[in-house]
Amino acid sequence: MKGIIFNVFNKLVEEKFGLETWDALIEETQPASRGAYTSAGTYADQELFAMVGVLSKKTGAPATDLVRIFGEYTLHELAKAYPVFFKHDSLKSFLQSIHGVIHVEVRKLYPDAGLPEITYEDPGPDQLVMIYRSPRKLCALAEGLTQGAAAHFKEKVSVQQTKCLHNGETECRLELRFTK
Amino acid sequence: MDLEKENQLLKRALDREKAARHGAEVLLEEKSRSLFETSSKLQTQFETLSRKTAGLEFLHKVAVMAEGELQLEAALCAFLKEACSFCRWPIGHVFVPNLEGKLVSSKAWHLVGNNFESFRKVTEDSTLNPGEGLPGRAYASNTPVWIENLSVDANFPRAKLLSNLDIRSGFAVPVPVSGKVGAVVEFFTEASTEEDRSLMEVISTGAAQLGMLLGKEQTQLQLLHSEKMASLGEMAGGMAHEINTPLGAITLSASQLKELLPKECENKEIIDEIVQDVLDSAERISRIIRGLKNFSRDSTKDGEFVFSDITTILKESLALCDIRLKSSGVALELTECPRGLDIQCNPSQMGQVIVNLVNNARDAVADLGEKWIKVFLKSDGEDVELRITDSGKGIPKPVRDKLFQPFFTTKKIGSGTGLGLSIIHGIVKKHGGKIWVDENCPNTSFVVRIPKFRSI
Repeated sequence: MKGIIFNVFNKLVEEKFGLETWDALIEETQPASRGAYTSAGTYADQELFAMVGVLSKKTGAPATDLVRIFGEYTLHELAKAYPVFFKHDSLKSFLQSIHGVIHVEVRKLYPDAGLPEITYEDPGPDQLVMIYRSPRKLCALAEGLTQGAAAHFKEKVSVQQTKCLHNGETECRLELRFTK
Repeated sequence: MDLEKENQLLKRALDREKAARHGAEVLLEEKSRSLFETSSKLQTQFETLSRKTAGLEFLHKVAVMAEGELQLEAALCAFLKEACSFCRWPIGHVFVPNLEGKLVSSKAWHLVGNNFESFRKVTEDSTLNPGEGLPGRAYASNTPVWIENLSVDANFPRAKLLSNLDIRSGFAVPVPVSGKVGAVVEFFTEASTEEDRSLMEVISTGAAQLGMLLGKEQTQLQLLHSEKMASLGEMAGGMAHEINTPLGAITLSASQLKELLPKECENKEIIDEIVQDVLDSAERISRIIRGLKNFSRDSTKDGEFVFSDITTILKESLALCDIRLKSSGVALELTECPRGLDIQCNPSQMGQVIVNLVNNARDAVADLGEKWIKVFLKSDGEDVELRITDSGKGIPKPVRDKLFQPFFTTKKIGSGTGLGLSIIHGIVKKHGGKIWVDENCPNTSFVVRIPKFRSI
């Protein structure tokens, strides 16, 4: 996983729970990187998952919820760092550009990036189905990112997940309905 | 949190930040290096690609040129210009082999700047044996040759002839024409330049295209010449037939008149003289016509060899040239000629050799104060020797070296194709003979030696 995700997670934890908590996550999980994350670096996914697990125990919040919140926060940070990808008229148009445009550009910058595969179904103007496939099974992050994007575009979206990798299925199916 | 704990917490955070910064710097350095390497690679690839594009453009231009209607020398100059522009070298020049198999300088040059005049002069005076000098080596080996440092090369004679050699490196490429090396193109530059095989490959490909153009040009001109000769022969044959009939009547009437004239009559001497003049003139016309017929007789049977009297062929051929010689004020003298000398030859082609040599001599002396042509024919053992000497003062060596090459001419543009002597050379060779310029004669003297009998 790219270092930028760890940096955003670091920022989120420090903002919401303080430096002490972040330090505790590092001390308790003892990551191979020793918690020294650089945005362009690449680190083991497990370091993030372990820290989320410890944070969940410390806060009592389910890991899935934490990941969803992290997704919303990450989107906010990415929009600040890469405004060029957010020049869209609507949330739907932005979401539809993730796999064909944003992921392509990310791959150019970081050929080793482990990106998920996202395919789309477009059942109607105010609907979108995003099908997520990734060995990381971070559908909660995808949902959080979607909600973060809705906030960015000042729209509302309801997400219903009808299939999930965590349930042994081959993909996660996120059915989206937009309301302005 | 007590102060000690907070200090430790901040210290750990700082350590992580330092480690992260170090990691970032290492990454940055790696990225910079990889970026530099990629950029260098891209630059090299770009240069290679640009070079290849320039090479393709050069070959395209040569191909277009080869399809066009350029005259030979213009084509050579155009090729040199394009090749020099592709190589970015200032000098391009062509050497051609003469009939003795030595390389002589052509008039085709491409020169950028005026600094190379002494080199040009030395080059134009050079005659090189196969294997000698840069073009000689390319000629002998039929492969491109590169010399990085011309001034120290043991086999570059032109360096020794110049006190100050302005050029440092050069290469030569053979031009294949009809399966042989028909020319050698050479290029020079002032900068010391390492051997560039890909450059020579592109120029060699271009040279092969140029070779096809040269082959085509040579064939076309020779074809044109033989077509001209054939139609001239046809016309001459027709004219001879048309003239012969009334000429027969004139001769018969004059002979009858001579016989019928009374032994004693007024002005008998004058009448006798007039009738004899008519008969002599008729005989002269008849000789000219026989010459014309000879000249035209077997334009369709060029390969046929028959026993013919070479003295008759000579006299009839000279009769054909007589009027032009007289009108130019050139005195013709047949100084030595045996009576009846049968040789195995193609009479039409032998006539062509004589007429061509006499006409060339006439053109050469036309503007001189003293204008004469002397013709000798003698039997010499198993050969006959024909010598045509004119009042000119000989031929300078550089011209002599190129004399029998196709397309070489010293005549004004439009006056000669430069093919006459090359065709004569071909005819003489076909007869198993030799043609040369007598260097020891104070005047200009062409000698043709032909065996009386064809060896089987």
